[in-house]
Amino acid sequence: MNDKKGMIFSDTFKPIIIFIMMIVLMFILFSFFEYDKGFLTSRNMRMLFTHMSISAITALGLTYVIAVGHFDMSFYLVGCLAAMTTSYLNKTDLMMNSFMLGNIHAFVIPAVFAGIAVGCLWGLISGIAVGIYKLDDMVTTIGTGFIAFGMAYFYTKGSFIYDNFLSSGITEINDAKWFTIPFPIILMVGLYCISFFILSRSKYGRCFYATGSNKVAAVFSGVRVKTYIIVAFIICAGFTSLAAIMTTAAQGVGNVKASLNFLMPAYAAVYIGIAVFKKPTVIGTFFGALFSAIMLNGFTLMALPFYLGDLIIAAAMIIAIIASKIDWASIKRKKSVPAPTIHAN
Amino acid sequence: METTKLRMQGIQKEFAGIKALDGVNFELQHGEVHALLGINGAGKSTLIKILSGVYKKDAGLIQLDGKSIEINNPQDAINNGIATVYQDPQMIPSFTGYENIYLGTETEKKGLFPRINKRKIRKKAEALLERFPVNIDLTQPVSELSAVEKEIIAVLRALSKEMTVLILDEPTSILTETETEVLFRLIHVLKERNVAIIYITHRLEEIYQIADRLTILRNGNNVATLSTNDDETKNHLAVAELMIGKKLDKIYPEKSASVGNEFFTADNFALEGSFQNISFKLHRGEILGIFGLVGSGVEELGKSLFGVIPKTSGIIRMNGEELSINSASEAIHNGIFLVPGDRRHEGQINDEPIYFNVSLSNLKRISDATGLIQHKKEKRFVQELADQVQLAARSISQEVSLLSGGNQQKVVISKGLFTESQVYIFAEPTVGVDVGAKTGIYHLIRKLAEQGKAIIIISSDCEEVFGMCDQAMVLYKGRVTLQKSVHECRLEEMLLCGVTGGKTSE
Repeated sequence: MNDKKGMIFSDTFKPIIIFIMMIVLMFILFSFFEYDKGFLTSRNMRMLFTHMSISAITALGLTYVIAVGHFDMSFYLVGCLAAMTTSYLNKTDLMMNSFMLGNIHAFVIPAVFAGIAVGCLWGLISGIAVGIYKLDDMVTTIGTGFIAFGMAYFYTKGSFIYDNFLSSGITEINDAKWFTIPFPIILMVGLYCISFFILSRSKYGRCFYATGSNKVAAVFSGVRVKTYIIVAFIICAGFTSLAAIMTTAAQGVGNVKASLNFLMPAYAAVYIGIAVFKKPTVIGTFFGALFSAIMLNGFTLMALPFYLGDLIIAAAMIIAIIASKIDWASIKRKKSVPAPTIHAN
Repeated sequence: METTKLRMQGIQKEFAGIKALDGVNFELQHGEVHALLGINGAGKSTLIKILSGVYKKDAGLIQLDGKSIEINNPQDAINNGIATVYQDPQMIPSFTGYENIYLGTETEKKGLFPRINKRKIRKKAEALLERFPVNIDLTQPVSELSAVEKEIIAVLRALSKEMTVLILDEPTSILTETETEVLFRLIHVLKERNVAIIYITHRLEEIYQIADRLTILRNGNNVATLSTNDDETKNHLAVAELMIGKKLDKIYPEKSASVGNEFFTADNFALEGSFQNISFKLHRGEILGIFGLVGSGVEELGKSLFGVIPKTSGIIRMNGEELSINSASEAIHNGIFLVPGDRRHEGQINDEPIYFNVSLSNLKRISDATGLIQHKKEKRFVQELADQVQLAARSISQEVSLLSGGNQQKVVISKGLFTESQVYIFAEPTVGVDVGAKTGIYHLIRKLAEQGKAIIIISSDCEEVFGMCDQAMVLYKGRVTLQKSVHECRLEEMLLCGVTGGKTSE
């Protein structure tokens, strides 16, 4: 029992230290090579984190689904439907007749929530299909996702929605600042804090992870496994919908393809986190998203073509998956004492 | 027959310091069906696994046709003509019967893509069927076939490779009675063709139908080898006595004399296809033991009482009040906890620490109103429980997968204790647990009873039920074949009711 404190310390903090070192190293590299391009300016940092917030919120939602041991291939498509729903409601006449809250029309708020609600509804459908009817998660969510994507076209047959975007105040979602900190960053930090407490510090988190590790044992322990799977899918779809609406606000146009490129960065962030923390965690996902964001930002400043960004992050994800498959502990153990074996007779 | 086909002599095997086999001798004649009998843990499966190359023997001699052979891996066994057919043989479901028989041996031609001639394989299969006439349609995909037909195909597969020793590992445990007949007919054919068969079973009555001789194992020793024609052998009770041994080990705690009020009752509890008409009245402080072999429905009974498998009919009452339980969470909420038999799959979250597992079933107890976990409180509670069950672990932050079987079981029991339930159901509480830890677990269970909990032990180990419990119930093929106070019944009687359904001949 002597090494108890030491064990808890190293288990929790070692991965965080690894991450911080990785990120500090990248900061130093980019500041050194791109000092003249303004990497370390506060303007660039604000931009970096604002960009990051969108992929980070999506990845945070996905973390829940990975935590319950499933995959979601629908969220990035569901985001498109959510963004189009909000854009379409934003265009209605009701909008301009509503009263003002500061410099936004009050109706923008229900429009945003309606978009998120539609996203959550899709999460509910996927969750029921996977959790209760035990359909294969990959194939089912590809199906539900593309139904959502198809439905996103219903509003305008796929053309952009420009109406009311500049006048309704919806762009404030992206532009608003609080003590010079952009609203997306505040939103991201808020959601990460809440999720950290849910997944790592609460009884609900225990149930999410138990479901992901051993569904049968979780059932025998009285965990409502089906409920947790459904909730995970709803959170994933809901967070992605929010991120898609934020993208729409940033672009200032309702676009059917608003969140079509969210898939890979979200998985990359989650799996870079898993590589270091050994399981899907909120902190791991945050660092994963930050890692990708710094790389993207640095490469953009280097004036590398945009498509190289995806390529490099995808490569980083593959390396992360390989790293997470290597059992470092057992390699160390082999050097000192043989691993304990369990005999089942 | 004149010569011995297979002789095993002084076979020894140890697992982590526990002797599973301690000098077993076994002889198999040409064209003989030789049954291998024994209760759980007697060493039957270990002996078979040594013969089929799954385990390596520590010491001893194996002779085939008078020549010494070494079996170090499954391939060695096959090369020597020893084939094992398990009760649920592995096959490719979409392939037809004859394709499965010749899987991997379709052609002698070498090369990257040797041509496979389906017609030729079919002809070969038909020739095989001529030699071993049995009524089976080999042109059907295996997925369409019944359990017995799959077993027959597995047997034919072994025969196609010119196997001369066939091991049938509990082949009838998942078969219906008519299916069993089909299998027995094939076994008779094999006997005529001079194939030697080792037949493992729990069911005593089958042995008289097909076996020539039987060998009884107990605690890693062979106790007796008898011919099924002997008068002595026909006395089931005598065979049961040989399986159990006369004296019980002193590993069970004293039974308590006093019990509390009637607490947990079941009335005509049933699950279609598994068990029927289960009724019992359990008092506080009392232990009910339910004994039954694999496939008797005992496993499902535990899960049904716990709500994991919904019952078809019947009523459970606690303290006189009717309970409606449709899920494990409802059962736990009502104060019922099941310590499952299959720890690795049902009991523990493997890659999480001990404290995570222990507190999982009653997270309310360690979290505040918002649902946040109070770690100090959790650590204190879990440490107390770990001390109480005498858990041997480095710390409560250790992953459960790194613990030994006995300690893993203690973690699962601690999880149950943490729920502070009133009714505890233990399914196979000591499977995969060594003898020392067994005693500890038995004392823990008895102590729970002394605290006034109502306890059910479900086990395929007859001795365990007899040694631990106050009331006994025996299930055979889903029916209750014995139900009375343990003081009033004999161990042999219990075993007999479990293995034959209570039909005693002579």
